[in-house]
Amino acid sequence: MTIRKPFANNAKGPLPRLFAALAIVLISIFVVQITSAYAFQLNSVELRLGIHNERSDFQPPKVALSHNFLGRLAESVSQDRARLLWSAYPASVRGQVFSSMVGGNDPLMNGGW
Amino acid sequence: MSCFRVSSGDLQIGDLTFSVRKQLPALSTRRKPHAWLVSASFDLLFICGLLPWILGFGAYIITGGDLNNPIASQSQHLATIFFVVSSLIIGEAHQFTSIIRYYGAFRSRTKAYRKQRIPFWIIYAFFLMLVPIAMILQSSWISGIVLFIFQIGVILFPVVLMQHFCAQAISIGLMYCRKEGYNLSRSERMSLSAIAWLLVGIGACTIAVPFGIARGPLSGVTNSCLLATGALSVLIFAAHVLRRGFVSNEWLPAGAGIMWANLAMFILLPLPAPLILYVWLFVPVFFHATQHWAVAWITQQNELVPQRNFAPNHRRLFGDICRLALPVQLINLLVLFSPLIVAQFRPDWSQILGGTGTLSVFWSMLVFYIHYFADRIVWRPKT
Repeated sequence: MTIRKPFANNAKGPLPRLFAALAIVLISIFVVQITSAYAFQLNSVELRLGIHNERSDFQPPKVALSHNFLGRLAESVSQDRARLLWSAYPASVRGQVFSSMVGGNDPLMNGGW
Repeated sequence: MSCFRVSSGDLQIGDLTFSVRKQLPALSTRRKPHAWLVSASFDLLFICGLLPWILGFGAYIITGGDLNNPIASQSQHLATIFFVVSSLIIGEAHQFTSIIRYYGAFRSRTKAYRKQRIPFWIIYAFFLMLVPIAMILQSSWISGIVLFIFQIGVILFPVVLMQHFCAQAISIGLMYCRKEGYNLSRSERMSLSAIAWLLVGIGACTIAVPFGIARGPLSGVTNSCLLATGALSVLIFAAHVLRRGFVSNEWLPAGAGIMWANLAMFILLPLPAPLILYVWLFVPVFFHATQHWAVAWITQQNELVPQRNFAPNHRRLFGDICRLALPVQLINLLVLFSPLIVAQFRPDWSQILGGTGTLSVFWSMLVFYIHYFADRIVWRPKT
């Protein structure tokens, strides 16, 4: 008996297509969610995702993402070029978007994450 | 008794002679092997580093060069969404191509790669043994070891990232050289390696300073000397390559030359030329990550074509792209946003993974380190 892996080269039948369709749907949901989240403001993202519902001390972030993100990022990096590689690093960008800390500051030192 | 003899395009069978049309083309008219990894335009934009220059120029135009303008226009919104989403989908996902390969197809290899897998065992031991023991026993010296390993990993993270960045560009340049039959001598290889390490060192002192050091560790004069040394080394190597071209008619492949030149500029220019910061915003995604995706794609195609016994066509192209990208994207998003998923069931566990809905810096670094060590072995040819 041979077990076919979902993405094996000779895989046939509905399973690979089903898996691919499921993956496409999930990825689309993620992308739409992230894109629409960014298009508004971070506080609305967090509220809609329900992350901070339990926190009574939650305050909306001071830096709204509708501001000039790229400009602020470039400005922060130009002030501290020692963090250039890290600031442009995708994980850092994700962290800055989701923690509303725009700039090249050291996330470990300043608690950006 | 009949005999077969072929001479001068004639086939002689016994007493009969037939004129034979030559089927094989002359050696001189054969097509030269494909010099690019994917295609000329794709390689120039996504592998050799031309796209970050174009996008950086575009970002400069869109932001108007006015960094102090706090309110974003519609075009700035769109540019930022493009930047953020591509960072996630292309940039962060590239790490999982090597991780999935390491835990998947790579396992079927006969060679054990024991030495190269030692870092993985250290990571496993760190998480499966040291951390639980330190938490259960509340042992100070075990906690000290855990903290020490963790701090080394965190402090050196930007430097390791810089080394990874340089090493990948150098390796892909060598792939171009191999494809075009441009052989580097031992001294040339050593020079190239020395320049790469010099660039890593310069990067570690200027744009990738280890965490915990507030600013660059060196003074302005020392930094200038370092940059001058780096630029001089690159120019000497470039002069040698050009001389070899003129003297021996052996020219460095264009892809390697453009990519290495861009690599040097990306590391040497940020201090003397501040405007390159706009270009740098796109370098991790559209220079480093796209290089990685291209290598993953080529490796997949090279492994699929012998199995299928024919070259891929357009009909199979979409299927191959899905086969490569979909599992990677799915795992990428599931892992990076695992705190969101976990929060639905155990909010307290979600805080361990990251407090803002995505993986924290600690877990993101762990993903990077696994990618870094996997990357060193999984793309090697099977033979």
